[in-house]
Amino acid sequence: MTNSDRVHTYPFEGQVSGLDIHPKFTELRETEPLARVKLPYGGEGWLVTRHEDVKTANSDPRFSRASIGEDTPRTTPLARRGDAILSLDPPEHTRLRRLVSKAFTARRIGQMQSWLEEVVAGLLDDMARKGPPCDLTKDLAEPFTITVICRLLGVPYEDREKFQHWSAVIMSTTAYTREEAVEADASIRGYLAQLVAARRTEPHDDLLGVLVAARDEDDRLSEDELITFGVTLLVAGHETSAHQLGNMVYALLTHPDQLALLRERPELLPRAVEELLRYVPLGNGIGNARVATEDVELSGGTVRAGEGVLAAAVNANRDPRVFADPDRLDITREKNPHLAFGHGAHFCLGAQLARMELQVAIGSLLERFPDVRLAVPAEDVVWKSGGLFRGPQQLPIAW
Amino acid sequence: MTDTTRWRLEADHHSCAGTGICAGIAPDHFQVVDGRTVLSAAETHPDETLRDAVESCPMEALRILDADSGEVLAPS
Ligand code: HEM
Ligand code: HEM
Ligand code: SF4
Repeated sequence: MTNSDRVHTYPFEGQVSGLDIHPKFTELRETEPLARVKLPYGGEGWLVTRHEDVKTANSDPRFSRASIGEDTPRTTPLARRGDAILSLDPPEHTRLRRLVSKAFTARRIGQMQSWLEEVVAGLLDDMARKGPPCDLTKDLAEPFTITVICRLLGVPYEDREKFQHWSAVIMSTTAYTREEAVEADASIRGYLAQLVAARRTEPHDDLLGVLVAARDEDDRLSEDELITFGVTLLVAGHETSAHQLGNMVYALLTHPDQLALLRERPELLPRAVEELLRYVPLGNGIGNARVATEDVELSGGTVRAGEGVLAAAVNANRDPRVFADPDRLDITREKNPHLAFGHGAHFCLGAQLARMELQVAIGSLLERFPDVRLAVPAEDVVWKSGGLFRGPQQLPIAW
Repeated sequence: MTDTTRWRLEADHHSCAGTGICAGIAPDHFQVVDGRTVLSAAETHPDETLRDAVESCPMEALRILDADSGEVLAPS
């Protein structure tokens, strides 16, 4: 049984700034591991905050994504489409994921390393030419991650302003209205439909081409699923790693001891990126609900069949039951079972790509500009607001 | 595939990154314990769900072999 009749309203009262985690999350993790929350849309649900419970909510087959509807609690005006990979359960989910999963194996991504290094080197050249200060967000993080996903998918880089805008609107919580979100969703779908049509007149050697062939030759997905998958890859492929790169560089530049250690021992880079993934909260909070298909026992009590559960990965990654000294950024941390990429069937499809992007970008930046530092006081960095993801609006750096 | 075929399953624990994808797709065959996948049984009947799980491993840490001939059936 649950230990409380209280209902917490989410978003919690009071703003957090930068990369801080709202203290309420920590409080709930320690005192109310299964907490009743009321969300802006779709009503009430349970919030879990402990590593063990977040992992269960993410991966236990008794928690379904497919049962989510308009009445499932959420933070955004629009509910996620039912035909998106993130909204499906196995085996439907597996059918879609397998269409592209081979392109994202560690081995295939490993083959892209030198190309990623070239792209970053070119952007660092431009920055060196311009001279300090530069904006890490606009001069490196966005052009880099957008170039990569555009090439993989087969989306023209010149269209980036259009789809960046649509995707920011879709992934917003309060920054835009529901009407604006509906419109942006229609626009980005129309845009993807055009790219799909182009692949029907002429085959293309890219992921969209792979999806079109899977539809037209083998009927392995519907037309709507095809468009949705394209949108998902485009949105996921640049929003996440671009924001995370800005956040991570900010975190390093404001932890001079860790920055110095990484400069001294560049071989720590892969471990440093894992630690940054653990430490840096990408989301503003709690993610998407999963619905229990039967009663499930969690550490704070029982979730009944039909109830929605929200999982705060941000907070699970700071759970002292799993991580020693969890609020400390420690790039030498060895055992690091963080949940930044989720867990289970929906484990981030792009994880290997994201890891490589982050390693290449951070590694090259430190090598090229060993004295890189913030060009403004840390407290003057302006953060995005009203969206699902955190990230510096601009990150002025000098060297 | 005839009914008499049996599959042998292998997991490379050094490559496994503990993502839980295999266990999410085929919970009857895999369980992630302490960050590593654990097989429920080393040999099974052919099962397409199992093949899906093996094909979905991003680390290519899983393999299906024909139990008799030793031929690798997945990943492709
Ligand atoms: C077309 C594609 C997508 C749409 C329309 C979409 C939409 C949404 C919506 C509506 C939410 C809020 C739901 C809620 O808070 O209950 C959300 C949350 C989230 N989405 Fe997306 N999403 C898309 C793709 C993705 C992908 C592929 C990823 C993974 C990389 C992703 C990562 C997230 C995360 C991490 C959150 C939670 C943020 C938080 O911590 O609060 N999204 N998305
Ligand atoms: C640092 C960067 C990234 C982070 C932190 C991240 C995080 C996540 C998380 C937490 C999930 C699981 C969401 C859930 O269980 O509901 C997810 C799923 C996903 N991610 Fe990522 N992601 C990143 C980069 C990328 C990139 C670069 C791509 C490019 C293709 C990508 C594509 C996806 C897709 C398609 C899914 C859905 C997988 C599924 O439902 O089976 N992500 N990501
Ligand atoms: S899918 Fe692969 S990497 Fe992930 S837990 Fe299973 S075997 Fe390990």
